[in-house]
Amino acid sequence: MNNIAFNVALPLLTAFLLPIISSGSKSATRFVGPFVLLAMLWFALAYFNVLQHPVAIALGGFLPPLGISFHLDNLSLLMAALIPLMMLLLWPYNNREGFREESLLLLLAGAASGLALSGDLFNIYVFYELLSVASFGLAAANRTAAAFAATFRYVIISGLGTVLALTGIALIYTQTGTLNLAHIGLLASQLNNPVGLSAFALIVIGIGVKAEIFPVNGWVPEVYSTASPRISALLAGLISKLAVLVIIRLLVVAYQGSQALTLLLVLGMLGIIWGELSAWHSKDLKRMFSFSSIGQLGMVLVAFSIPGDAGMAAGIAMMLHHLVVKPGMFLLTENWNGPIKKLKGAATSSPLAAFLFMLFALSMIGVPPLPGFWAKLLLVTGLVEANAPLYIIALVVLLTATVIEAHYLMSTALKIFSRGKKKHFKKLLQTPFNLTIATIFGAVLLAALFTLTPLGNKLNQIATESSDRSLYIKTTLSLKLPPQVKQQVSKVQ
Amino acid sequence: MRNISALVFASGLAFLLLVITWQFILGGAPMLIGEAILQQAAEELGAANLVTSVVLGYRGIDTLGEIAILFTASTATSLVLSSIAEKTSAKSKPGLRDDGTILASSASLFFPLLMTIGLYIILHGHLTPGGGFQGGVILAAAFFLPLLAVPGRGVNHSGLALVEGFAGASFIVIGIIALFQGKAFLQPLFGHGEMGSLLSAGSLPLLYIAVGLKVGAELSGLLANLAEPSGNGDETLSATESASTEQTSMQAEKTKS
Amino acid sequence: MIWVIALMVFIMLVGAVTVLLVDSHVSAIAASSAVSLALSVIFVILQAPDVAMTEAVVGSGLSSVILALALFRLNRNKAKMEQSDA
Repeated sequence: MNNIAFNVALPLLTAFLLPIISSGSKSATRFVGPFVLLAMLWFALAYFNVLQHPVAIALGGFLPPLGISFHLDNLSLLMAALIPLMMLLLWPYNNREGFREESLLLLLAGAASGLALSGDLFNIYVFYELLSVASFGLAAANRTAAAFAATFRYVIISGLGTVLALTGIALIYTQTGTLNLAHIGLLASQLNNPVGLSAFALIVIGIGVKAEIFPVNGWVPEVYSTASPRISALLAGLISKLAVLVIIRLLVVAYQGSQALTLLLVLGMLGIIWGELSAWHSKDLKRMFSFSSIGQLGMVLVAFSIPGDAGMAAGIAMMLHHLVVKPGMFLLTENWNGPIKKLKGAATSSPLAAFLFMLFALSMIGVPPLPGFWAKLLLVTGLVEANAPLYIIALVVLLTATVIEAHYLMSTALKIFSRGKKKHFKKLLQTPFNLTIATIFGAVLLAALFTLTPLGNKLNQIATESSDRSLYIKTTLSLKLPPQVKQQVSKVQ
Repeated sequence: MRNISALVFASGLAFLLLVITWQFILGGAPMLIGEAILQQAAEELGAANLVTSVVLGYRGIDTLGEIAILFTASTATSLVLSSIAEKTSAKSKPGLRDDGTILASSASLFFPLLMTIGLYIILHGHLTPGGGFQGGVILAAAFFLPLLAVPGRGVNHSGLALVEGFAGASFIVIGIIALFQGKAFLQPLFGHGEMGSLLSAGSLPLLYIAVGLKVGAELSGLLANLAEPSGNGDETLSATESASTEQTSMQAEKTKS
Repeated sequence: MIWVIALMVFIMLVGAVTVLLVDSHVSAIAASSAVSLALSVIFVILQAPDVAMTEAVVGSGLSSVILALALFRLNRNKAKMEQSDA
């Protein structure tokens, strides 16, 4: 039952050995990565099929509060399966330049799996750091001066973020004396004070660098507009969701009070306002998508700030929708970058890409019956049912943002579908590789449209399970509490 | 605008830290996990150095993450450096300057000493303070010092990559072996031995040797990469080239002043 | 013992401020390495020899060497660019 550890161990092992493999055989370098990703996908799905209720796994054979544990439930296994899947779709199959980018991607996959599965706060920090460093390398992998400048900015902001997150974790440790998430949840009453809450704020802002949360997202437009579309798709689509996952785990397990929710709600609203307004103003397609990604993640945050199952369901739905739509959009920017004005006639040049753009844009705005509509509907009903002044303000912000979103996306679509000069057509042609992958994302979106009922049921099941605090704590600590800890816990309570 | 937002952010952070220090009770931290580990670590793992039993035992996967971070950083650095080298290596560019006989001979004198200290710290990681990370850095220093004294000596990068790859892989393979024996990933193997002797604490010393070799090879490669003219390490310096660096560095100083 | 800690904290503060104020990058690197060295003494006093060793080796040794090498490369590239401009 213990082989989910392979999802972390295998990619790291392969990445360590890749320099040696590449000096032996160049073709092996190109096949070993996808093969490992397939194996990871298989391990995650194998668990997904047999899992009846959440399971905790003690790594190194040391029981959880002392050792590190992985927490397996539907949400973490879903992420663990999505990581290799997205990597396989966005893998640089046509890269002939050596092994370094593949190596970094595998390290990213290992770190992301660790982040999705881990149930220990410091372990999460370690994997988060690994994730950060790997994404620095990938953001700079384009090797242009602009990419280096953008990555430098990313490194500085991310460095600040990791320091803040580490401070927050240290504060939690001083308040509770433990690092295991479930154990922290058991002692959550000790965090209900200014120090505990500021620890949460520090972690949210620190981890939020990757989740594109409002005050620490200055790197987003620079990096996404200079990195290659595949990497932007990966960072915006997958990596940001893992950071959000860490925040909601902490929220569910340790911070059930209303202050933490208010913090998330305010940060989310600011993110929506800032992101959507900047996207409205931007004249460049890649920058527009980056800013709209900030806005979308703000919506995800607002969704998770709604208390109870409704918020969890809406948040996960928004997250999954963004995970499919945004990578697809970024893949279209390879040859469509630069000013939006120059996109005239793109539809005649590659009609399939124009159709896909239209599909993604409509779903993102939330036009029924596309999946984006249902995700936004969950969010809106959640906000209405929460029925507090701040949530009503959030509702107004959300609806205004949707109007702005519709305006800038549709005016871009108008440019794409308008008639252009023939001599530009060649430049606007999409590469078949990117177009194929984007089509797959589009197909997934359409497939979701026809399986709405089963998807909704599964979503509700995942949401109920992952918003259940006592279930999380029970799962990990039922592995048996060491006697000394049990004594101390009873003393503290 | 940007300055204002930075100011707002910084003052908010300062306020937060102020609140924390205000509310903080020094010395009042509960030591739930710390005390429990202190009580049972020696018995459970048999390592005389308790820090090692935490680093490689209780939190072994964190250590795996840390060596992966170092590996990632060096891979990313060489990705960036190699691209700069490609653009600028039209003419072969000299590296650091030669600094004379005294430095060169003392560097070769230091080499065996540093190697001994580094290996000692790695091998005794489960007994005395220190371990793979600290010892590995000292090993890297041992390799880097001669390079600093006699630039252009050249480093065997493929050899370093080989050591690095296999050391890192063996850490994970030891973890996987435990998995195949029906234990958990990274669970210590082979019993405890007598506490305090060199062959004790099961597989922890093996893990530390792997960490030490990996860190040492990694950092040697990274430092050599940074110090070398074009990141390839195969070029040697000729006298004329080193003279031309002096000129350029003098020019640089002039333009600075 | 408290006086040694106070002295070390003072050295750290002076070193940290020096890093900000000093003009030359090399001096800034030296000052930051002094901060780490003083910190490692504090770790020894707090009975954490493992951490002290890491701080001394990595903080004051390795990281300053890496910073200095990066500075060296940067200066060389700058000089090269100025040469090609002239």
